[in-house]
Amino acid sequence: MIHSRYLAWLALATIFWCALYLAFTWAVDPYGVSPVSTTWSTINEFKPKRRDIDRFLKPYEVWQHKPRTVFLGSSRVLESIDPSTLDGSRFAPAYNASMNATTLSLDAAHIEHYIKLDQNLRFAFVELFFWNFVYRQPEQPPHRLSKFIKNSWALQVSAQALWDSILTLKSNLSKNRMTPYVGLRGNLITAPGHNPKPMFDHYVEYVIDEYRNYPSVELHPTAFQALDRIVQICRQNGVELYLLITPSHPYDDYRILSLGYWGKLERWHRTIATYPNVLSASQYTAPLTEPVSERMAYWNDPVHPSLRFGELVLRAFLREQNPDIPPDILVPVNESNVEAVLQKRRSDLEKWISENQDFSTKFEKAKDATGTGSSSVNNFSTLSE
Amino acid sequence: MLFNSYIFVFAFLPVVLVVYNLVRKHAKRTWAIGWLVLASLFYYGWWKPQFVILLLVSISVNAIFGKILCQGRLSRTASRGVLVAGIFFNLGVLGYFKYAGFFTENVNTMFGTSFTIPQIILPIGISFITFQKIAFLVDAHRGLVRNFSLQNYALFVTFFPQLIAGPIVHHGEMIPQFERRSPEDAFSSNIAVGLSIFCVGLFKKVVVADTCAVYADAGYGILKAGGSLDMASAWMTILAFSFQLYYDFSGYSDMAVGLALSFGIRLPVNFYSPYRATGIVDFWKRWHITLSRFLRDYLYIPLGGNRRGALRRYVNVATVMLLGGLWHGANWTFVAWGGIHGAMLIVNQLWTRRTMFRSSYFSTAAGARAVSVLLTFLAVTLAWIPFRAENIDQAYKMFSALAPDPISAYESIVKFLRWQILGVNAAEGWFLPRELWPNKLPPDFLTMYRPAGLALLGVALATFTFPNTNQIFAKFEPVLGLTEAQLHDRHAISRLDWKPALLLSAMFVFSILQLSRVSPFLYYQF
Repeated sequence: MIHSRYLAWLALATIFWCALYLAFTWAVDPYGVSPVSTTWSTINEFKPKRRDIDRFLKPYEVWQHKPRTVFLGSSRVLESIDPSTLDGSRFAPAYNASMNATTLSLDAAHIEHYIKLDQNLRFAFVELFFWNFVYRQPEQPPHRLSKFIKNSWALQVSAQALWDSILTLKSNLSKNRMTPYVGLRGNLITAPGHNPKPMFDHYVEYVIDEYRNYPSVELHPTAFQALDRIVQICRQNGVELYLLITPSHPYDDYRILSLGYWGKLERWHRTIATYPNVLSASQYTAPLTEPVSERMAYWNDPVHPSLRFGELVLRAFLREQNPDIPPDILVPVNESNVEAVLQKRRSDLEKWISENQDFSTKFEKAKDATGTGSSSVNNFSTLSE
Repeated sequence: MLFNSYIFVFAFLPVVLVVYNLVRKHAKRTWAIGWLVLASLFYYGWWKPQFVILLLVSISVNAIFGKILCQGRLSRTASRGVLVAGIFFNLGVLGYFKYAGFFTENVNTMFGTSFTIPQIILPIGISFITFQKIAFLVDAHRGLVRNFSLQNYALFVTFFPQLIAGPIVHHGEMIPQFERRSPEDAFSSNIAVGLSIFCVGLFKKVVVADTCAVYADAGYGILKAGGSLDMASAWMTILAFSFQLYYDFSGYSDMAVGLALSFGIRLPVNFYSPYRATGIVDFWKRWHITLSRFLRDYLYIPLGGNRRGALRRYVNVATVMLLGGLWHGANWTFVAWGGIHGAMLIVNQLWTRRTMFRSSYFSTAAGARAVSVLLTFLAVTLAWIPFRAENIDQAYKMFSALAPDPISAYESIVKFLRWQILGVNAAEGWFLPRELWPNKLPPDFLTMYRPAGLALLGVALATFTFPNTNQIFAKFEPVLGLTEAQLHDRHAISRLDWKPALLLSAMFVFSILQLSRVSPFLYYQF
């Protein structure tokens, strides 16, 4: 027997479950995208699940917040740039749209997509990182609006959102906030008490292992083509572009030198110096050469500068007068000064090596032990491309 | 267009249903049939509109052949000639689109030639459509088809609930329904039951099958990437695939039945708890029932069936299963799968002929039944390995991983059991999105970090203990072909009121939430 109101009950019950779902997920708001955004300290203040979904989340937030400035790049930008530093300037509001393991071709697709989503966009900062130029850039078709709508819909209506709401609630109720998460301005906030020292301690093994797997490093033309595309997109759409050479820790500089890549690094520098608005934050300043310890102000690990480092860089960009900001923390790089910039970096690295013999010895020993390099290349005169 | 997509659930289906109801009420029945044909063609063309032309040409040619055969004016020889031409045409289309690449590849391998053919895109559902049309022509030749209208024939071929993944319907059970006008009060009842069954099918597909698919794909992905699997992970993979395929097909069949019923059409039963079969013969009476029926009526019996002695019978069974395997896909893995099932059917038939196994004990005692069910399930699950593997080599690797040396096996089992306990509280691990898994998965990935074994155990318990959809809705006669006993199943619900409404709507809403990640039906590729 079928009750005469069965279909009505089916419809009403469906509405009831939908309403229950929306009430719960919008209240907990695991991704920070709820239309009734409210923050309760014991329920949803901490949003750990934002970190897992940046490829869905960031385009949505660019569309939602309509920033005037976006930052694009890899995890190095994600971890170091807090856009709120630019608040009150002509660049505000700014948003950190960088993503882990991004590529230049992906950055190009993103900037094109963001320009369509955000009519307010006027400035873009794009990261330049040597290691992003040494592999073939994957083909990256333009982002489609339909995909954006689908992804944005999934942020609001999906089983994953329901599950992540439950996990967010669980994290907040248990006060378990010991994981990094992506803040509402798009940058990564490290877990309290973060200790970078183990990662510095294991750096040598990590890079030597990587060197064994991928010994050949060549600057790849597709990376420069992707960069050309970024420049072209910004120019065509009236977006002012800044190309930011993010800080490179002396550990990484030593790796480049010792493994014989320094000539390629210099060639890379000379090529990017031909682009407009190139800024370098890779000078040997006190933050860059901060001694390794369990509590570091300027580095999260040997590859990722901290928010504090990024803040100094942004304040230097805004030309703030502050004794904490080293005068050369951010310098423009162009064809007229690139040789001087490189000369300074070489001499500063040589000085750092002489003051950090423990590290260079450890590195060379590791090289010899694994048979990855029988002789040391630790001075610039032996380098050639 | 997939049944499990927003566009289908929230746009296509409501529009087609509402317009059909209006036309049915206010115009001639032929207009309602015409509307369903139009909607079905739109549905088919959603993926590749150019294939609608192929479908229309195929319908027209087959209708002409059918008309010639139905007129009954031809001599026996001439009628046979027309039939052969019709079959040749249909198999030619199927052969070109589905098997040309496979054939060329094998010729090149065998003779060292280097023939090339352009990349051919397979029109979805072509295997199902071809079988239906061939069956129609054969019956027309046999004089079993009376005169038919082009409109009804077109709907018989294109009716969207069963168009691209079955069930393989017979003209004798469909065309009379198109011609019959249902009573007015049946319409809302049909929609109520039809939509309820659709909700169950949608849940099975997007919640159960797609969840199992993550594990199955991961395991086979590891092998594809050149990696290896530990024993527990290999068993997890094949069990996950076994349940994925089961719920994929079961869910699809339910959705097809529910949709058809919403339009007042009853489809034949196609799926009836096959993993509860007590033997391989029984399995094929429960799994893809309409395919078994087609192979029996239009291949096995014309080959001689069981009328020409035991040996010929077994040869016929093997032939039918090998061809049935090839029908599923143009790859030797499918032939191997068909061959394994053929061999198992023969063994099953030989087994049941032994006097001692004819005892009623083997069919009635709970313990014996349970053992039979378990063995059948195990055999079917192992046979799915070549079905899922991309090549024979991959299938061999999977078989090897299932039975390693005793020490590795012991270590793998201990690790697996430990994680079923430790992982229960690791809430994150239960549903870690596939995107967050490492790029290169270690051999024990499916064993470690998450209690996937418990999740599969839950699915297994549901499979072996819950009544199936046809049992639950038996009192409303949702499908054709149920026996009297099945229609009076003790699990059947007798009332559709607010309680099932609450449960079914929850299943529907949860399924809709899962739709954000669309995945195609496995059966669409056949």
